[in-house]
Amino acid sequence: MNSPPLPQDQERFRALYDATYEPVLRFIQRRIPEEHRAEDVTHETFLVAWRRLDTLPDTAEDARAWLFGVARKCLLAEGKSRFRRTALSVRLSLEVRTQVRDEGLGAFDRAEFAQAWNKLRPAEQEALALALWDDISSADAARILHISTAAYRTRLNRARTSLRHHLDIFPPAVPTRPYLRTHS
Amino acid sequence: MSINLDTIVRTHNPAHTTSLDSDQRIRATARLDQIVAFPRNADIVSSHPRVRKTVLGSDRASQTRRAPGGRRLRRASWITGTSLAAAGVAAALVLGNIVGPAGWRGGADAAAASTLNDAAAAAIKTSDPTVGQGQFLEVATHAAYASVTVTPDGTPATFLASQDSQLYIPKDSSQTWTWIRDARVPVQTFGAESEKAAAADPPFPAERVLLRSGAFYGPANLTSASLAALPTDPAQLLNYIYRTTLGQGVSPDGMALTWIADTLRSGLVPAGIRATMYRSAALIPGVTLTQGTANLDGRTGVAIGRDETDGIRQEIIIDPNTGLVIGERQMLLKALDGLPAGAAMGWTAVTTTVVASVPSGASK
Repeated sequence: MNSPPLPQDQERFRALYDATYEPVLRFIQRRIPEEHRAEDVTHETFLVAWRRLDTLPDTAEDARAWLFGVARKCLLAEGKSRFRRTALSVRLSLEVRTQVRDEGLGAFDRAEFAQAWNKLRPAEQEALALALWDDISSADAARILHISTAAYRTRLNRARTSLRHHLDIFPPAVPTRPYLRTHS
Repeated sequence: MSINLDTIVRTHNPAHTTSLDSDQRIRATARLDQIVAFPRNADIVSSHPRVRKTVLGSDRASQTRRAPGGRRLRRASWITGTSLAAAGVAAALVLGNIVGPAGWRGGADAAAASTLNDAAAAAIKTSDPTVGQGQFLEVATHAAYASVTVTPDGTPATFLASQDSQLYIPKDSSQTWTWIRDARVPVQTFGAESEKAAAADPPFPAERVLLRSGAFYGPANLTSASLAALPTDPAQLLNYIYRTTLGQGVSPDGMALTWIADTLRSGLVPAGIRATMYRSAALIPGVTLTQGTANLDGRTGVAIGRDETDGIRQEIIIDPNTGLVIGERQMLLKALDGLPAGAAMGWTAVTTTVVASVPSGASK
């Protein structure tokens, strides 16, 4: 039962593809190193989207989260069953970026940040990346990861705590040393 | 001083700051045209090797507007706790990184170890092809992977689809490489449902890609520098592999063998390092020799492999006389998704030769 594609479906899909191709590719690029594989998985993701256009959310914003979910599953399944995993590491790009080291923020250079980031568990990396790099709401992130919103928020907070620890930043609200110093 | 962690993380967003380059745009557009030309209502969800089953649950990731009369698709069932258990074992093994796990838990069985060590000795004696001025090293990869589809009644149907490519590396590897990827076509079917699925396989375009030096589109993620940086002692190399693959695969030992198979099938591993990898494989517990000769892509060799609890045996096939890698494959120990026991669910054969020029034509 293969009938030719309907023009209105093609039109809707083209608009969606234009609006979301780049974010989907970037999402995938952060999770696998080889460019061609990133583009292949992007292609697979949009093939799934084309097949399931009926279930695809209407707005580009919602569709983006939906596509991230599909992309993530494609990535998890990629490379045959032997790579089966439940979470994906999120890589930091090797691309040189402008150095950000502004005073007030206690900024870290790329190497310092990368060192701390790479100590996070893949699930922690994913939680932070979805919230802060992909700007995905907690509800959508939870759907992408197939966990409850509450579980996602917990995971996100744990991830923040771990990263703070690895970066050696103490939580601002907890005073520590100053009290001891008064004795000396 | 208050430190806003979120601001720091945002600052380090690794997404490329530039927008898509012109090559990326051309590829993206070409692929879009292919996608929308394809009938939407074919009984396939995705065609990527092993992907369909997992993406089937993707409804849940949507704001859920279910297709009218949409069939209920099987949810992924095979992401289990196995990998977590495996990760635990591996973590325990590698703990402290003072003494690695290689060596003291036994190794491959005697027949496999002797085959691997002989192959290592042969590999060292066999010199790699020398690329002359103006010539290219051609790495021809002939591969097929399982594509799993789900029929409307929920039965999986699987066929093997090709994934062939030729990579041309110039003598001066900083010059432009050419990578020709052939279009994906079904190469083996298993019964009527499988044939139907193969006939409905969506397009995957052929590509001819020029890889600029330092451009990472293409299979060039293995560089001679990264290979040369690997430990040269077989036990140390194996420990390195256990660490690199921590938490992946069905078992740490199986994953280590898979890592070696994947690296060797690139066709880029020089003889000396190949020999070390064979000796590392000989140290992996559970690795056994496959009875009889192994045929792959018209060539005959010997196979060593490891049975995994998921019913898949990863094999590496070697020419025992030259120590050259013929390829690798995953054999099914039991029926899976419409493939019978004893079938290969995926294989890669690789040949390296020196050629005078890069063939013109091929696809865009």
